[in-house]
Formats: sequence, structure tokens, C-alpha cells
Amino acid sequence: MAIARVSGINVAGIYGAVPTQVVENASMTSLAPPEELKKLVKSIGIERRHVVQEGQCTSDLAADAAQALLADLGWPADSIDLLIFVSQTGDYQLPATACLLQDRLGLPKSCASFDIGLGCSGYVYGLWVACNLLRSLAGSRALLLVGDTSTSILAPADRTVQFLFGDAASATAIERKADAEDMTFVLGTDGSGAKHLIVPGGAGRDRRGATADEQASRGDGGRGPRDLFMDGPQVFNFTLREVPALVNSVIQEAGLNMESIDKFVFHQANEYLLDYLSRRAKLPADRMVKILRNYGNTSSASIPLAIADALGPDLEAGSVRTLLAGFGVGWSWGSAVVNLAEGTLTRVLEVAPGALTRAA
Amino acid sequence: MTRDEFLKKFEELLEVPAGSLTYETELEQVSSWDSLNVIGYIALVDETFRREVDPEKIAECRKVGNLIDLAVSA
Repeated sequence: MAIARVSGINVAGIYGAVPTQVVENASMTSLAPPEELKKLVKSIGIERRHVVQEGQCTSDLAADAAQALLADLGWPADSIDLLIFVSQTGDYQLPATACLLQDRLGLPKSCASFDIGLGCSGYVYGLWVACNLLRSLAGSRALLLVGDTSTSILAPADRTVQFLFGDAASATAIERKADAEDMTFVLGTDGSGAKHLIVPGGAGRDRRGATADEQASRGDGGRGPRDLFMDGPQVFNFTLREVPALVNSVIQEAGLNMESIDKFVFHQANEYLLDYLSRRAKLPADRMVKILRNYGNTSSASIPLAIADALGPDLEAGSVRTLLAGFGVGWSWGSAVVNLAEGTLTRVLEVAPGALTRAA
Repeated sequence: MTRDEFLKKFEELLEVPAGSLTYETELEQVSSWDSLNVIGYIALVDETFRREVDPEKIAECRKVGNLIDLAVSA
């Protein structure tokens, strides 16, 4: 696995943003009888999810989170030298959504901007890339915008995915700071698992989705070639295969032990998986952060959203050493030990559709 | 762990009365054998034997006994 250490970089704030519309899993009686829904909700630990409305994009959520964060930090837009957008649900096939966001947020033309196409592991990868690039830039501030609107790529009646996913984006403000504690990253990939979690049609390999008809005909709720296909048992196997070792590895590389981690912030896949994983990797249950109940699985946004939603009071009281772990689609995974300093700003915003933000 | 012992654990997983399943029970007849319990079965095998089960092989199982064999001898 790829191992990296980054010094002299501080996270100044992490904001989450979710759409205002909320869908209660208990109300989805067109897909399953109430008794079954009850059992399902108990197992996956997801009671409700924030879901975008027609025309609301990941970038809309990310833009609001970014603007609020910059304003609260008192960072002028022209002080940002680097913008990275991590998502698998961008505005267009091209151009990169980061370019649109540079303009929309009023960032200077001197700002380097680009996208990274990763999901569940995307936040850790994005943080790793942003921190490293910031070290080599003349400027001292970067914005990392990470999120997905997965509900827009689900077949409406596909029971294998419908109850799990919610929409969210996040903004993370990153700055150079000489006395910041080192971050440690461990990253890996196993592309042999690509076919188990995929939107098969609509891109280069299969533009019209002809070959994907085969998968669609498996019959899960009329799933089409441009809809998300997920093989749950394969995802579960992959997670058990890679994540316990990943967690041990990043702790070891950081020169720490389990006791010195204040909070474990894992990709919020579903509660059953998180609970089994923490039992299997012998993680302390009371230090596992879980926000599934109100948000569901928000793909790349789940780690920053969990920090923004759950760690505010802790960060007001003091620094919090976190172990982040993202894993899934690719297969791709990444873990990091990041010490969030006391006073790191956190907040979760709700974003109404149609309100296109523009920098003043 | 013997086949009989694993069968007991499998019954606990499915929340059916002890002794209600036999090796010959058709999975189609077991209403609680659903997609959640497929994951539960994978976790049970992992926890008991530290062994990974191929989901395609699970899909091929027709009887409870097939699942028990797959777990015990995978």
C-alpha cells in the first residue's frame, strides 16, 4: 500500500451541506411492506436521507458549504490558490466541475482547479492530494470540495440501493501552518472489483448502455445502464478483506496505537457493516463516529459530513486526533491519521434547490 | 466447528426456532433467507472461520445443507 506523511498542513474548517428535502425510509412503502422496512432500517441504521430535487447538483451543495466556510474563516476568495473537487456526480461529462466552481465562488484566475473522480475513498485521496500540492505552491490556502448526489443515479425501484443513499457535499479549508502535527496516509487500489459497484453505461466504454442491458435485466427495480449497480455481498467481502488491515497499517505508520486515536471516522456505508467492522478490527465502539441515522450513505461526503455533524463540541473543547478511512467503489481505499486542532470550524448547512450561489 | 453446530448458528442468524431447519430444507421455503441475511451469513462465516465466501457460490445454493457445506468446507 502507498504510504505518505505530510507535515506543516492544518485543516482550518470542515463544513457539510445537504439538500433540504428529506425522505423517510419508513415511508417507502411502495418498495417494501412496513414490517420489512422496519427490519431493514434497524439493520442498516438509516432512518432518513437528504435527497436532491430535480436540477440540484453536487456542486450546488458544495458551493454553499464553501462560501459559508470562507466567510466564517474570514478567508477572502482571492487568497485561495488551489481548488479540488472530488465527486462521481459532476455537473457535466466535461468541463471539470472545479472550473465551474472557481468562477462561481469568485476564486482568482490564478487558482489551480481540477476534479478527482473517486467515491467512498475520495475524501482521503482528496485530502492527501490537496495537502501535498499545497506544500509545493507559492500560496498557502486550498479548498477541498467533496460530495455526491448518488440518489440521482439510482433506479427508483431498485431495492438493493434505494434505502441506503443520501446526498451531501462538503468543503474543507486547508492551510500551511508550520507547527501542525504530521498527517499519515495509507492508500490502495484493487481495480479487479470495479464491476461490483458501477454505473456501466453513458461514458466512454459503453455510451449507449447496450452491453449494460445484461445487468439491467437482472431485474432489480428496472435498473438501467445509467443507474448505479451494487453487489452488496461483494462490497461486504471487499471491506472485510481490506479495511481491518488498512486501519492497523495507518496506526502503525503514524507511530501510534489504538488508544491514541480520539475518534474513528469511517465512510458511513451502513450501520451493520460499520458495527461488524469495528468488532472485527477490535475498535472501541464508543469512539466510532456514526451519523447514518439522519443522512444515510453519502458516498464521498460521508467522512467530512460525519466530522461536521458530530465533532463540533469536541473541537471546541480541544484537539481531536481522528483516524479517517474511506473504502468502496473502485475498489479504492484510503486511510489517514489527522489531528484536528482545537477551534477547527464545523457546521452542516441545508441547501434549498434553485438558489444558485454566486460570489458577491 | 461441526456442521450441526454451524446449523444452530445459522438458525440463530435467521431468527427461526432451534431445530426448525434441516440440511434438506429448501432455501426458497425459508422466508427470512433474504439479502440482509446473505450478508449476515458472510459475516457469520468470517467470524467463525476467518474465511471469505464467494457470493456467486452462495447464489448457487439451493438447500440449507449447501450453505452449511460451503461454510464448513470453503
